[in-house]
Amino acid sequence: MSESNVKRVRLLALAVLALAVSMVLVACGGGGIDEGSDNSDVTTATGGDPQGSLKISNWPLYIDGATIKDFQNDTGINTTYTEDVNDNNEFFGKVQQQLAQGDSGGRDIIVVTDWMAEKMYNLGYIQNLDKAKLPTVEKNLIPSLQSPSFDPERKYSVPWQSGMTGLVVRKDLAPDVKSINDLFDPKYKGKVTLLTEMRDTVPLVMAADGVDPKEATTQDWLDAIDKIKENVDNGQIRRFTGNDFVQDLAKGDVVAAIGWSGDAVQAQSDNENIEYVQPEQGCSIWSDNMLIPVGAPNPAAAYKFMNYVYEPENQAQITKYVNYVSPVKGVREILEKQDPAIANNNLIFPSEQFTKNCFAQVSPPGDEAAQQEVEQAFQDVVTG
Amino acid sequence: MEGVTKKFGDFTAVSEMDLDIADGEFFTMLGPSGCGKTTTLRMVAGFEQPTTGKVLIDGTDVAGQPAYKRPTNTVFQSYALFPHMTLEENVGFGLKRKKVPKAEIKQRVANELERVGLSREAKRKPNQLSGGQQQRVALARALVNLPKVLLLDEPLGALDLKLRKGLQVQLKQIQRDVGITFVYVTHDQEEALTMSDRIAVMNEGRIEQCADPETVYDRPATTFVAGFIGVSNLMPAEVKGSNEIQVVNGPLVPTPDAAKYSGGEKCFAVVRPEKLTVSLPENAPSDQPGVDGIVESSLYLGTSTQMAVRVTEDVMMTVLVPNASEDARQHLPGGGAKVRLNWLPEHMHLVAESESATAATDPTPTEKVTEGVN
Amino acid sequence: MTIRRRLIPYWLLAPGLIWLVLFFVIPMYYMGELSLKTGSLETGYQLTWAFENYTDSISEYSTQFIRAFWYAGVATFFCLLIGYPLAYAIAFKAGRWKNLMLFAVVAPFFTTYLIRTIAWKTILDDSSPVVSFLKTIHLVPQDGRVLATSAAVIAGLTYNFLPFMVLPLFTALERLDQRLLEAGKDLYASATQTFWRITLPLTMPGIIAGILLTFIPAAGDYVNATFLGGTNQAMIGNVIQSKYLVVNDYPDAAALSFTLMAIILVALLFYIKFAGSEALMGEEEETR
Repeated sequence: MSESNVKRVRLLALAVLALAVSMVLVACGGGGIDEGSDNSDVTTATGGDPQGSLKISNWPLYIDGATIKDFQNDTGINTTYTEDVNDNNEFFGKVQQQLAQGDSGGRDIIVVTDWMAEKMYNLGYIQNLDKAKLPTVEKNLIPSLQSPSFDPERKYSVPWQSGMTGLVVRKDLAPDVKSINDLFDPKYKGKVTLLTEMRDTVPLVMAADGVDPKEATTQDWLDAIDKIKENVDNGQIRRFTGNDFVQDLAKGDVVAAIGWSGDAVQAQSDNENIEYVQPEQGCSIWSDNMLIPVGAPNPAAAYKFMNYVYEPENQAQITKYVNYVSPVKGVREILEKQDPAIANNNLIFPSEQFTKNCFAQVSPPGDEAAQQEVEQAFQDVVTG
Repeated sequence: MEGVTKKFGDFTAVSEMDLDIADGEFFTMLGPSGCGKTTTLRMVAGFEQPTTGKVLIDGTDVAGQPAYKRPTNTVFQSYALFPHMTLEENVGFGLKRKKVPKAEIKQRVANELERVGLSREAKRKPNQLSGGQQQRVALARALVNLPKVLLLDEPLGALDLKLRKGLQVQLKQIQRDVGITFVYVTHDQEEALTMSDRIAVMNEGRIEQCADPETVYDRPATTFVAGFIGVSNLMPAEVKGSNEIQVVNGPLVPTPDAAKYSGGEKCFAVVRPEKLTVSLPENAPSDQPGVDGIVESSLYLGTSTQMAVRVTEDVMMTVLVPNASEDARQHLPGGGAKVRLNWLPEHMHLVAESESATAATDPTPTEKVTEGVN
Repeated sequence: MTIRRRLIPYWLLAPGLIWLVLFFVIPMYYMGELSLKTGSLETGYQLTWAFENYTDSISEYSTQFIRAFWYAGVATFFCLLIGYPLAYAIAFKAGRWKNLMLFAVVAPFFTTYLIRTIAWKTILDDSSPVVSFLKTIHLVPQDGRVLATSAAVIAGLTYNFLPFMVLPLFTALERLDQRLLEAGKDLYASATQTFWRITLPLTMPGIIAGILLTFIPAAGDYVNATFLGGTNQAMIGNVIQSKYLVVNDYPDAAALSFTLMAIILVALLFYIKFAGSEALMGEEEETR
């Protein structure tokens, strides 16, 4: 090889390196996260005349096709509805830097899960709500969701939809799975998946061993994580999943999983062998919540939208489509007339009996640092 | 080669060729681009297999054998030196494949590089050499293996004129020294005439004439050969009896060649440009045959002057007049002058009309033609 | 030559340089700084020259580092094994199908990386014909599986990065002077010998480029391990992703990224030094 060719290869190598480095950079984001923040000076979102435009960030497949159009026609508010929340952590990573500088990226409403709502609020990224502006929400929010532990007075959050985390099984392939501990039965070795979200998976494992998740200590959490790790190392657990657990179940590669009720309902319509099973020791109930981030350009329109979706008629339209637990009173009565199958589905309108052992989704105890330690221990199992 | 034909699809590159090349001969295949000469060479080398026929080397039919099993080596027009190896490694490549002992390889490679005068460059890479040097390496790389036949595919084609002349002499010298059979492909008639023991002039996949350079030059077998070798001075003629022809617009000329033709047959009379003399009709020698014409142009070439003389509407003759004295040159007839061209009967030669129509009308046969892949 | 004219090359260089400074040097600086900080999102991050971010994360995640390089290395090897004959066939044997075949190599790029990877979940799922076949020929045990194993991750990496191997190889092979191969055969080298002695050394630049273009992104990949891997098959890219997105431990994430980069850089320099040397590039030693 000639000198010039060698040089050419070296140049190429450098170019490739530069490319690789920039890819790593893109993948991992950059700096500029120096400022600590807290919620000592949370503002309350003010409302005026609801008009202008509204921008909402929500999860995919979390609303029917007509509601936004109807809302626009009724109110004249020009609404941009974006499905850009795929994962609490990922969304946080995406918006964190802007929010830290008081910029919501033009968003007036974002929808995240309880614990992420709390985390964002504690970081000062979320505004308090003016209850006077939310009469319909005040009137129609179901009692069981009125004072969750992370926001007992519903100061800054309004539930969008709720759901249960429990067992989702193939009743034809694993008919005897009733408890979380059945997942660790050697006969299902390599046919079991858990969720990558720690707050979904770990409390269920603790509850199965008789630990009350609400009272659990850091050590209880770490013990449960150890138990999961054992079952990872011996090959019992196939993998950790997000929403894709239903595809593994549908193919039969997996016979039992920890999963979400709403996904189970949707998957069941395609494959009747997929079934949500309430774990004997209870399920974890969570909500995704509407929040008004700091710097939201049009809180008045946000209030208007919150009230709008809390009208039972409007909410029924959403519930029919998304199949999660609705936080709005009176929806069941409406659906009993329109679609009795949905009204009588325990996963959409769970009876008290059905959820008697369930608990509101919990986070590890202690401050951010203590929680981070537990999260790290769990992630070390997931990315072991 | 016995009855060798090579077809590429519908196209016949070489047709029914019979050729016998003697041991130790410097044999040249000459012809225009696309005449089949390179294809013939590649069949000998083994890069192409003949569609039908035999290729015999030392009495063994090698047709069907792959190139690497044949006792031949090739010098390519593009040199085809391995760019990632030094000269030494390039030259030693073939011997290594033949599992010659290392010490012997070293010795033979050194000798061969010595022969082509590149001993000092032995450790260099090919792209650090000039074109002429690379060509010499290519030659050394082939010769070091002492092949039964050395095949050279327009080896000097990419070099400039001066370098080419020098290498022609060297090449001929080396061939005499090693005594290996050389089969040389070129489209340059001058190169062919200078170096060869024998020349095969090819056209459209056939051999038109195969003979020593003098014969090919002086006694071309066909109008194509006459045209391709040197300037074509073709005068239409008619055979009158067994020893005489009638040249167009000219006299009866006695020639023994006429015996090969029957009376009344049409043929061409060839006289090479340097064998013609030009003079004003009144001063013309009366004991020599001659034709009348009009000077169209006159071109000074240094050692000689080239004149174009129109004899009839379609017959144009070229005359080379040596510039022996400046005075004589100044007195040559100018454009438009009526002149007479004379020659000695023994300098005239008869050729039959070529089968191919294109051949005789090839306008500038000495012009460099870029040889494509045949 | 006027001064203005002499400055032209620098002007031509300027856009690239500015781009590099903006999107390479500056982020690199911030990354480097961040990797030496301590703190949390709530308290903010202070520069404490915390080099233990490096030592701790390297020792803690050495498994994932080694696994990443192992997977990427094996995948690169398979890419070369599959890619070279493929590129050779396209360059020399494809004839008029050449462009179509090249298009076929690049065609997967028309779908998203993620979708392509997820498609492999269907191909390799436990009851798929592929897996049944592998079981029939006893490459996979009867009670075994392919999905959620190291093999699946490596297969995914091989599939996803194959074009990066084929394209530089194709370019190198197409540039190869066919007459050199004839010269080799003319000099008594069989087809095999011609390949090892001439084709391979002369296409070495393409091989080097292909290996770099395949190995480097494969080593930092996390998508294949996420979707095709199971437990205990995470690569270092998965760790960095989880550190950054889930745990929000930005300094550790930065330190791990830097370490990955440094390891690749060092490996690269050694590789270039070795691969670029005359020893590999066609020195004829009699080893065979």
